[in-house]
Order: sequence, then structure tokens, then C-alpha cells
Amino acid sequence: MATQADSLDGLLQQGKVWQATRPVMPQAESVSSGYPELDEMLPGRGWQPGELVELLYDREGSGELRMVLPALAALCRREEDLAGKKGWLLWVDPPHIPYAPALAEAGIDLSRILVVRSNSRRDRLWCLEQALKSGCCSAVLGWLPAGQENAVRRLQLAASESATSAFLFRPEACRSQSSAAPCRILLQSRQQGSDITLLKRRGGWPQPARRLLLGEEQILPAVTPVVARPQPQPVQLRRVK
Amino acid sequence: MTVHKSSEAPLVAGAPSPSASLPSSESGGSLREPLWLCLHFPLLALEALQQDEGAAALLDHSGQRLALCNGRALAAGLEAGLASATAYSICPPLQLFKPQPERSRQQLENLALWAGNFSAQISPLPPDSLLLELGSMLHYFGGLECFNQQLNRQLLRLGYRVQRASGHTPLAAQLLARAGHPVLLQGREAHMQQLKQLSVSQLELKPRLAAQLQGMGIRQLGDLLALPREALVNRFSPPLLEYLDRLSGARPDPQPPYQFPPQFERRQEFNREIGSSQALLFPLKPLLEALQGYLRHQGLQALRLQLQLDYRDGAGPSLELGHSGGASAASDWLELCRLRLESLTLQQAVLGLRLRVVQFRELEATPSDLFSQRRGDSDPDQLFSRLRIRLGEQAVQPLALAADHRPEYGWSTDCTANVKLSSRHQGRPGWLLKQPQRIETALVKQRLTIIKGPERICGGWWDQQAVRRDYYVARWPDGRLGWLFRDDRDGWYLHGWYG
Repeated sequence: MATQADSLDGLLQQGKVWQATRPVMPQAESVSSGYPELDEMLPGRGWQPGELVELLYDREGSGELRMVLPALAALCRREEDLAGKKGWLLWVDPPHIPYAPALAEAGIDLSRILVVRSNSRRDRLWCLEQALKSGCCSAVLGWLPAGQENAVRRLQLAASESATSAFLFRPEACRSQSSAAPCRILLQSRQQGSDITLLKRRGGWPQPARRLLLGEEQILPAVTPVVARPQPQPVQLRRVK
Repeated sequence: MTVHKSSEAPLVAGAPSPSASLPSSESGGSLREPLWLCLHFPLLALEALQQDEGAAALLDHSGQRLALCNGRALAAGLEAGLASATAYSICPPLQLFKPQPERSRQQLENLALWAGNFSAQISPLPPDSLLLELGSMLHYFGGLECFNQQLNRQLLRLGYRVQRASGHTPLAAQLLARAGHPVLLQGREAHMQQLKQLSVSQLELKPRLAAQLQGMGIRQLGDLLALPREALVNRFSPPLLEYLDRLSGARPDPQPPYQFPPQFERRQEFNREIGSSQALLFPLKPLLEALQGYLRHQGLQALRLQLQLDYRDGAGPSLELGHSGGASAASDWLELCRLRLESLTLQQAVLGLRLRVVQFRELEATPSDLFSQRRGDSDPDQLFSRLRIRLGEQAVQPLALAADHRPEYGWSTDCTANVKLSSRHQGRPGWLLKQPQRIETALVKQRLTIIKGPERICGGWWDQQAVRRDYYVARWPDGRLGWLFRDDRDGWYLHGWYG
């Protein structure tokens, strides 16, 4: 018995066994998501560079950008402090135009953004992998359709090699598929805020859904909810003299 | 200077390029000892022509007999002087080449450019040797040992057979290298020791003089030097004395330095037609190595290269390659070339290529961060160039603000404009649709909840793209937030998502 206990202690000391009672320590490198409630749910109190984050959502507008923008802004600020060579924020095949005014308002340094429009799935994966491997991107954002488990595995490897922050945006249909991403988050828009479900996280159980506003309060007027529906009037054309 | 970790940067970080400044000779209190390095490429005439690894030999001018054999041919039992028919019967896969002095001359010039990596003063010794002034460079390389390591690495990449030797005078280095003595020493005495062991036949004297010396029983240079000077004056013509003085350093022996051209433009012809674009990388490699040496020597970086291919029936495609931050390392450019050539389909077989630098940039000192957290080895500009070359210039775009009230013109890909964030940019959605999407008025009235607005945006009367809209934020039944507008014809459009 004693030897068994010893070997278990040994394993625990080596960090090969994780105890559910022991929370994952916040790491110096982690990047705050900008939402305290979300940070609490994430292992290490924020996004971990080098860990691929998979964000699953149904359609654009579910809060997927608002979820990552504060972290991107934090990455910009951090590197300014370190005075290091500036890394790119690379957007690979976003579904719409990333709207510069909104990004700038969120505090992101626009000069570091690169938007890539690839012609094929192969080029898209190549581009993501190159960017992650090179280690000269602060963050890489990619949009991938369902399937492609192998590709996700490769991207996770590349991200962990270079310790780059990586976000993959994928349709909700991927929820039931297996994925090599260490962190998977489901995002569902609701009538107020969005439901966030941690499907998978390193060193922790999956978590039940939590409702977060994700910055909605800044978009919307202070008085919510609106009870009476305003009846908008058409624009009156007036002749200018 | 930028030091690329991926390549063997010959200079210590922060050191100027070889030609930029030479250390004053007074440094350290004593005069610097002269030191020269000779690189002798015995098979250059053959290696300039051969494109693969097989057994090969060069014919003499009559075209009947072998003049030079490479390692494989020697191993097969061939030797210089054999008749070509005999050689074929001994080694059937043998490739025979006719001498092309012009090609070897070009290769030697490429090598002289490449040697710009190592020395500020380079003198080609046609047909097959290079002389590098080394004494002033050792300080930058951190000693002879470090220099030798870097030289070895680069020579290995070039793939030429080479014999090298140092010397306290140009002639000493040259003789030792040609004799195949791999000497790398410092100091006059050490070199003289080595020189004394050279046989008279290795001194490259006139045949009559060499025979005369041998007839006198003088076998080695040591024997000759041991003779009293007066006796030599009496017995031999003055040129021999002059030769010995140049060898020992008693008489100056100025070497005409190679003049680096103001433009970099090199041609390379192939012996065989090349049909696949990837195979073009092999002949391209030595040119890029030469480019690296040229750029390091001149203290420049290349921003744009032009690669012109020659088809069998005339001019082929001309490819432009750019590096956004400027690069000098051959490995960086080779990678960009590889990406560019991957997407190229050759219409015909290629017979030659020409490499030209379209745009240079002065080398700038960039501080490298000792404590940087980031792992990975390439720099941001390199990634940018790689993506652009593989996907096309239009596929990789920066993002910037634009000074326009109309949402579709509120952003641009021109980062030089430098527009500051202002009130007209506030409260905008993260996604903008490429085209506003028409939505049914009934849908807006019945199913969407308008929660903010209207915000009137008018503008564009100045460029015929007039816009007169009321913008609203609305919540869709499934909870998503959209940005929509009503135009002056009472039509509703979706223009963005609060992603």
C-alpha cells in the first residue's frame, strides 16, 4: 500500500494527474478575455496563448466578435508595453468585412490587422498553419467549416509550438464532432445577452451555460428593455435652398 | 543590421557590413598582420556546367581527351588524359562536357559576389580561384576559428569542391591552396614553414625554370630559400627573385579588388531544358547565394526581385517577388521563390533565367529583443511576403479607417491615410456586409425589435454615391443584433451584424 501511495504522490508531483479539487493556477501568459465572468470559467483565468480556442455559433451576430475583441486589444497593449516587434492579428477568410471603426473602437491597433482572402480550402489551411507556425502573429483568427478534424489537430500543434493565440470560428454543427482544440465554447444568442457553454476545457469539467451580455450594454441605449416599439417614419426629403 | 536566424549570418549582430567601415589599423596598439585567404575551386570548369551528381568529366580543347574528372568519375577509374572513347567504355553513364570558359567565368564572378559575405576586398584569380583579404575581417568574425566555421557552413551549401588556404601574402595563400594544403594559420613564420615544404613543381614557375632548378637538385622551396641571395641574383633572372620576394612579403603585391557592380543582375543558362517549375530552384540557389553576398557587402537589402525565365522560343514569363521589409538572406528569398514558382505553370521548357534586383533598401539597425517571449523564428514581414506571394497581392490586405460618414466607405485598405477614430465611428457593428441586404418591411415591422435609432447618415453628394439613410440597431427573433437602415425610398436593408 505504501508503495502505491508513494507512486501516486510521485505522479501528482510530476503534474501528470490532475485533481478535480485543485483549480488550475492563473498563468502569467494568459490573456484576459475582458469579461470577468468568462475569465472565471476559463482555465488559467483567460485565454491561453498556444491553445486553440474553438468558438461554435450558429450564424454571425451571435456575439462571436465581441467575445474576442477585448482580448485582441489586450494583446496589442501588451506588446506595446514590451516594446517587442509587433505581431500581426491575422484574419483568415472572415465571412463579412471586419468593420474597421468597430475594431478601432474596441482598442485594437488597426495597423496590425491583416485580412486574408484565400481562394481554396487548401490555401486557407496552409495560411492558418503558416501563420501559427511562424510565431510572428499575436493572434490568428480563422473561419473553418464543419469536418476537418485532422486540420484542427495540425493547427493546434502549430499553435502550441509557437505559443500563438488562436481562435477558430466554426458552425454549431461541429458541436457533436470530436476536436483537438483544448478549449471549445458554444455561443448562443438570446433575447438579452448570449449563452456561453464551455464544452471542453483543459483541467476542468465542462460547464453549464451562463448568460453574458458581451458588451451589449455599450451598443444599446441605457434604458432597456424597450417596451413600446417606436414607429420609425420615412426620411423626409427636403429641398435645400 | 537585421540578422536572420535562419541563415548563417556572417557578422556579429549590430556590426556594420564589411565595406561599411574597417577597423583602424592602430586598434590594439599594433599594426594588424596581413592575412589572405585563397579559395581554389579545382572543378569549377566542370561544376559550372553539371546539374546533377553523376560521374562527369570535362574534355580538353581538342575534344578528344579528358581534362578534368569529378569525384565519381575518379572513383570509377577514370583520370585526366584518357581518350573519351576509353572513358565511355570504362564508365558508361559518364557525362562529358565541352569546356565553356564563359560559363566558368560567370560562375567565378558569382562566387566573388558570394564572397562579399566574408570580406570587403575580393580579387578573383581566373580561371578558378578567389583571393579574400582576411586580416581586417577577423575582428568582426571573432577570430579565425569562428570565421572558419561560418565559411565551412556556407561552402557546404554552395556544393562546390574547394581547396582553401591562408597566407601572409596573396601569393602564399594562392600556392598553398592550389597545392591542396588546407592551411588556416596566422603569422608569417607559420606560413613560411608550410611554404618551405612545397615542391618546385607546385610553385607555378615557368617549365624551363622549374626544370633548371630540379636539375640543380633543388626539390623544395625550402632548398631554394636556403641559397644565398647573391648566388640567386647571379644565376637566375631577376623575375625569380621578385617572385620569391612577393612570396615572402618582402615586396608589396597589390591585388586589384573586384569592383561590385552598382546593380545586381545575373544570368544563368542551363545545359538541359527544365520542364518543371520546381526544378528551377536548383539553378536559382547559387544566384541567391551570390545575391546574399552582394547585399551584405554593399550594406543593402532587397525589396523586390525580378525573375525572368527564358523559354525555348524566346522570352518567357517575368515574375516579380517582393519582401515587404527587405531581406538579404538567401534562404528567405529561396522560400519566396519556391512559393511563387509553385503557382506557375510552364508553357515551354526553360533554357535559362535572369535574376535582377528591382528595388534596394539601405540596411537599418533594428534592435533585437533579448527577452522576447515569443517563440518561432520568422519575422512579421517575412510572413506577410510569403502569404502575398502564394495567395496574390490582393488576397492579403491591411485594414484602416477612412474619413467618410458613409459606412461602406468608412474603412479602407490604405493604411497610409492615418485617420483617427472619431465620433462618427462610434457604436458600429463588428461585421459589415459586402452589400446591404434587402429585408422585407413586414419582417421589420412584425418580427424585429428595434432597440436603438434612428441615426441619420447623409453624404456622398460629392461623388454621385449619395446616401441618405436612417440606421437602427434591431434584435432578431433568435437574439442576434443587426444593424439595418431605411433609405429614402422606404426600403429596409441589413448592413451589418454586431458579431
